[in-house]
Amino acid sequence: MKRNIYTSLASIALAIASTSCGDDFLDKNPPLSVTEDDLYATESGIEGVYNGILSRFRSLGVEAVIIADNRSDDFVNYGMNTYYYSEVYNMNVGAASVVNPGYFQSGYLAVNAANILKENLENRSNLPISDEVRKEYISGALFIRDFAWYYLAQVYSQPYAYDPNALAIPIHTEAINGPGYNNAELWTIGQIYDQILSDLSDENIAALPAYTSKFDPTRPSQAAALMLRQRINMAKLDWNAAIADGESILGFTLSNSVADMFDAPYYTNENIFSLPSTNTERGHNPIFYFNHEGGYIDTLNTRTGILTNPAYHLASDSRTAFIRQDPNSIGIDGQPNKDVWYEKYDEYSVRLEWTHLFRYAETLLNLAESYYNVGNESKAAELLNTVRSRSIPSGDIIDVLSLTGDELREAIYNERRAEFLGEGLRGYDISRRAEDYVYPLSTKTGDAWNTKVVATPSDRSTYAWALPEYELQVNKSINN
Amino acid sequence: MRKTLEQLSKLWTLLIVIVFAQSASAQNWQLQGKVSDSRTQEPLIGATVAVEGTTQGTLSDFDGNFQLTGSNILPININVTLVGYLPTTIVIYDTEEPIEVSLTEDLLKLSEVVVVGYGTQKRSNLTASLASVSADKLQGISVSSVDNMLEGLASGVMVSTPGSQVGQAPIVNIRGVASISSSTTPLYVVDGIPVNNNDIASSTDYNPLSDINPADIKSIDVLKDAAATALYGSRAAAGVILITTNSGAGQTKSKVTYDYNFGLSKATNLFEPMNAEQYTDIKNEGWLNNGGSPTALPYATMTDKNGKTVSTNWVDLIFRTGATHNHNLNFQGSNEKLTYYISAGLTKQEGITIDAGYDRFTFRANTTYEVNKYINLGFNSSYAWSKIRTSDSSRGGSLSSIGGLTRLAYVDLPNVPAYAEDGSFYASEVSPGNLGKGNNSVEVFYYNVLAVAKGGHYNESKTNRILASPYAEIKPLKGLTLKTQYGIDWTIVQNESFSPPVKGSGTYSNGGSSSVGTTSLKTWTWTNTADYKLTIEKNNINVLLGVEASESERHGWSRSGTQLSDADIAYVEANYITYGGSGNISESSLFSYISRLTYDYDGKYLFTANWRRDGLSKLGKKWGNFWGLSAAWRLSDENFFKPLRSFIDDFKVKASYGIVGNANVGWYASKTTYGTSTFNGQTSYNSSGVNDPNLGWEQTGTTDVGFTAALLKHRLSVDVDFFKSKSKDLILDSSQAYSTGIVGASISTNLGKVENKGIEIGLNAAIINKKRFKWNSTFNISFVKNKVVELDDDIVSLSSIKANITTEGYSMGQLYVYPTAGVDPQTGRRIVKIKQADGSYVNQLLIYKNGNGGLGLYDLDGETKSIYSISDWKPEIAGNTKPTVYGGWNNTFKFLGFDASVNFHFSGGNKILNAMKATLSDGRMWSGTEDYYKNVWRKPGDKSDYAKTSYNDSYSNGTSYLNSDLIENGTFVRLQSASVGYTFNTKKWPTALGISSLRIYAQAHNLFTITSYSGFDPEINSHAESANLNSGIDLNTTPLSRTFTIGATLSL
Repeated sequence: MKRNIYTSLASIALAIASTSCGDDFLDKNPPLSVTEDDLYATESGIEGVYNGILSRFRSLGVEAVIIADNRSDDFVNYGMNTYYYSEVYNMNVGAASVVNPGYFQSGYLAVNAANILKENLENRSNLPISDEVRKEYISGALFIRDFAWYYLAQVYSQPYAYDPNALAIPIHTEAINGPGYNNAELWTIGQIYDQILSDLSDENIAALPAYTSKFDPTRPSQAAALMLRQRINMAKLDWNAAIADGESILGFTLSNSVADMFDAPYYTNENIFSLPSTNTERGHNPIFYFNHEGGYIDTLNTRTGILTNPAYHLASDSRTAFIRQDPNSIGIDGQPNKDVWYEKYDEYSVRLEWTHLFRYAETLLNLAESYYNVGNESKAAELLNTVRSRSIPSGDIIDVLSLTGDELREAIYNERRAEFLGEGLRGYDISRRAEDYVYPLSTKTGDAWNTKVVATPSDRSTYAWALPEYELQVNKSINN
Repeated sequence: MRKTLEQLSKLWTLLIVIVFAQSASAQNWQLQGKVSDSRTQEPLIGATVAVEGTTQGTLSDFDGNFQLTGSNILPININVTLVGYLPTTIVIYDTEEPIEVSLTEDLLKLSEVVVVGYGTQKRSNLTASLASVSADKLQGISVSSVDNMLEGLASGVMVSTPGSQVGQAPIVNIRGVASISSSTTPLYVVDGIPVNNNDIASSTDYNPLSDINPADIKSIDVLKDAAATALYGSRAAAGVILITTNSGAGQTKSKVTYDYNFGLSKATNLFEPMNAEQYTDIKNEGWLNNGGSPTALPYATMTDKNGKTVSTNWVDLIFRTGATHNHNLNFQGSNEKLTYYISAGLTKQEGITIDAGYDRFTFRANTTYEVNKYINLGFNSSYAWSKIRTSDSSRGGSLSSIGGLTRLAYVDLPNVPAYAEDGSFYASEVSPGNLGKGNNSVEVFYYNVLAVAKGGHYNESKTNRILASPYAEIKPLKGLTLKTQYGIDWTIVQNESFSPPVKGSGTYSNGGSSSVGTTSLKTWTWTNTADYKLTIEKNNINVLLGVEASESERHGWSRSGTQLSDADIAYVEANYITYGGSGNISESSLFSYISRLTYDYDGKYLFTANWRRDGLSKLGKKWGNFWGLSAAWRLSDENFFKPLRSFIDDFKVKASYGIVGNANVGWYASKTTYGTSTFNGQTSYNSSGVNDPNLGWEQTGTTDVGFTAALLKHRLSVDVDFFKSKSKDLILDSSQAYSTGIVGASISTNLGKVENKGIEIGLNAAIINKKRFKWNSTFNISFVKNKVVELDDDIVSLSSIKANITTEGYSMGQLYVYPTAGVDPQTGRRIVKIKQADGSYVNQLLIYKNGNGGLGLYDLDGETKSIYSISDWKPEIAGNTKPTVYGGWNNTFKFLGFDASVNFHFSGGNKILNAMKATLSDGRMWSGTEDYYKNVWRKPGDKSDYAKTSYNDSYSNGTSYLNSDLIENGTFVRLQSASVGYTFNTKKWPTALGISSLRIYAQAHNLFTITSYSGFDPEINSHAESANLNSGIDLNTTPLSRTFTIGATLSL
């Protein structure tokens, strides 16, 4: 009997021992992921993190373009689908709007990814990269967060030109790596612009790649940072600073035609900062909303949009090739009709076209506007002419170089609309100048279409978006 | 064979009689008697008749007669016992007269053995709380998975069917919702092996429990309190469901059984959609209400080539009556050494929508073999294959997906045709992926629902599942059993989706796309236990010790193809212009030490202690201790109880306390990592989210106090349990502000406490127990109250498809919507409630003016612009979504050869947000219900749920800004199942036929529901995938189905 018990106990012990384990058995790591420590141990790891923040920003940037055009007076959103930006078009984005949280969140994902990279590069020792590269990436990270803040502030704030103290968005200038940071105060648009200007100091910009013959417009560069700084300075009406920024951008040239930048390889020497698509990363552009194959989401405003002005709808203007008309419709010169699209993006099934955020034509037109505002009209006209004559080499009905005063200003404004139609500039130009958003009605007075002011800078609830409901719930520092 | 058996048992009886007779002492008296069944009056063979307090005894013979001699002083107590019958004691004063002993069937199964963790126990000796469902209760229920079978059957177990999409699993909550973000699915243990219960299919829904053929199930035991579940430690917080499959034991004659049934299912409830004229009319009315020109009405009907107005009822085209075929074949038997059960099952089921189908076949082989008196071997195995197919893509978070068939069927325009004249699906000319606009001037974004359902689109999961567990039991000495069991649970799912370039179906412009991939989840579990039973006089001791190791591996990959090289060769396997792909690997491991001590003194004082220590790789703090203590006292065995014995046959009080855990978290929930992708063709790394490196066990402490009583000569049993559980260190996704930029806006961490308390009452009655007619009835009701006791940050889900908040002081997943006060009869506008600083409300009107200012608030005159803006209108907590009372009432009847069952299921105390109602009364171009058309506000004085229609208005009826007017009561009573069967008296049939039994039956599932809820069904839960936090929302979900089945079971 006793022996039996011992045998049994021994076999239990054996069974336990054989299934027993060390901590090895309970130590499992995800084979397809990497830890932060791993990443900062190699040069390629750090480069990969840098690429990561660019890809975060890409999501935001594409959406920012779609939003700007949906806010602009050159397109009409017929979609009436809240997922397809109908509330953006109607200037009705509330806390619970469908598009609101996604845009807000993608902005902060880019900001925090950039902040985390920046702090790791600042605080870790023995990094496997040169100090030059380290500084480039830090400046790149600053550029990315600044650009993200810029885009967010455009829709969540009343314009600087209306009120520099308008409350905009919550800002974290430091990386968030854990819980406990839900409460962040709103900064004013003035504070944000000042922060961007201090981030984009000459010294920081100098750490970024300069223009070379092998310039890569998908990466932050000196020129890209200067473009952002120029936009901020223009928004602050600091025209001289804006001129200095623009004049520092060197090496770039206008392409033969605007269309060149939307055909393979989808960039030219005109592109300063672009969001790429590749064979395996398709569709990083707004084509779904603006192409006829997506349906009637965003079509041209054929009542009061810029292309109803004959000077911007010339047969000799190579940009009119982007207009696509439903064969059954009467079209832009005839009766009102919604079946007209503007298709810079026309490769619907391929979706390889890049989204261009800064191109040299904008540099020139920004300079034109800035020179105009400091009174240098001839310089302004000359710059305007450079851009306009690229698309209209002959047969222009405007003598650009002879324009002065209000006519010149109007021509610069209009050229910006025509040149960047479908590229997301117009919506932000309106708010930069604190103008009203004016949309067409379906009624006429005489030959002219009636219009309606849908948002005016003094009315925050229409002019700017409400912060997303979730943010309002969780971030207790926002008083609303 | 039968004869031999009878002879054998007679011989056996005789032998025992001789043995007992020899051991008898002086023969001063002789007692004769007869044992019979109290109901049928048939003699009972093999009943043990013994003199209390002595070793004297005998067995009744095949005529029920017995003879007993002795010399004890009268009066003596005679105990008569027989398996399946209640024991009885007779006091004998006089031995001259023969006595008649009639035994009563143990209708309440108090003496039956129930399965507990890592062993079995006699029900009457339980100290813990558990609910058992035996095979006879499952007989009248034909559903495809075991969790569905439990609906309304077990006390304390809430089973809810959230919809009828193929492959969808029900929601199972045992005693409330214990966890916040961790899944609170109970742990399922099949024949001793914990099995996977996670849906690993990516193309469709897949309920892993449907891999277990319900026809193979012998019994289901649900462990509820910590005393019962602590042995499963870390995985037990949501309860444990033990499933035992058939074994063939006790079936001394080999038997082949074949069962076939045929069923027809259709939606329980569908709304009537608007027809073409109604649609055109109401939409144009909206246009005019918005100030549109009467000469430019945007909507118009069209006529077909015969001059008839086109009016398409998409709902009729999509929904159907689906047929189901079930075949089950099994072969079972046993002898002294061997038991076996081998089965095969085949199910072919058509869904209630034209695209959906479910096919399954299952095999099972269970066997045990007694090598010698020391060694037992056993092997349980099953294989299941299933194919789940649907073209509906609105699951979980994509409820508003325009690929969702239920939604599309209701929103597609009725004034356009389904097919173009050339026979192709009717599609837009400009954007051929979309439905055409007909004579309307407004283009639609939607797809032609028929093109999606019939055009070749499909999502498919083909699942392969092997469950196998060999085991060996060694009994080296009396009372000691050593057991080793190795179980494998391996599921491989082939995921497949295909979208051909069919006009009208959305993917036309992409040139077709496909995705294929495989997910594999393999878990092995090796359990080693030693069980020692010892009886010293009236002290019964049982000790269990063990170790268990388990490891899981999950692999997945997928490959997507876009744009077919040749649009005419439209297959998943065809050549595509572009390919993409991704993959994932996850691994986890669990190691545990197990122990249990049970002690009882003469079945009167009962005590159980459990302890388990678990180490889990997923956590930062890996190890946790879980335990349970329980005790019971059989008062009815005490002398002081004697006066009550005539009325109460058995009475036991019990109490328990224990701590169990829940670590159903992400595979690497405590690791912060970066995932890889590419940017411009180069490797990029992005954070996959922030995790807490110190993440530890979530713990639930449970107290249970209750009693069990058997009354009225064992005709009625009553079980009452009071329970209270408190979970702490909840693993929850604490909400992080978007502005932090933390990926996923949440961090899994141990925060918060939640409490569940309630009462469960179970009644089991043999109401009628006559020779020819039996009526058994069980009734269970549970009252459960859930409350979040502590939570730092609210968990808010707020979007166009979600409206829930989890916050301190309330039950989880409260509705969180914008407060409204109906439609103003004067203006027809929705009244919104703006909360003031002092807590009072100001009513304002919500008006949407398309192209003329959009959404805005107005004073009650409907003209003056309000001083409030839309941002002043804030969402509010608006109702509990967790049922506070639920249960079932089950009845079985037997009359001659007939049997019948009627099972009711009820649930209540919760609110439902009828978001479907909002969607189907929208002002945009999409269609809606006839109810909307008939009842919408039209003129001052109209009282309506639906606001005055206005062109493109998505706000007034709540599609955007889900509002409190959509909230309804979720209480219901449902006739869950009803069946009637007839068993032929095959004994009278010629033996040459070889038929041992034949039963024919008819069943109905989900026959009717009594409810005030106006949506499809009060059980619908559109967010079944995250039901803890997001419940009570009914939106775009396939309605429940009603099924009628007929079938026959034949045994040879």
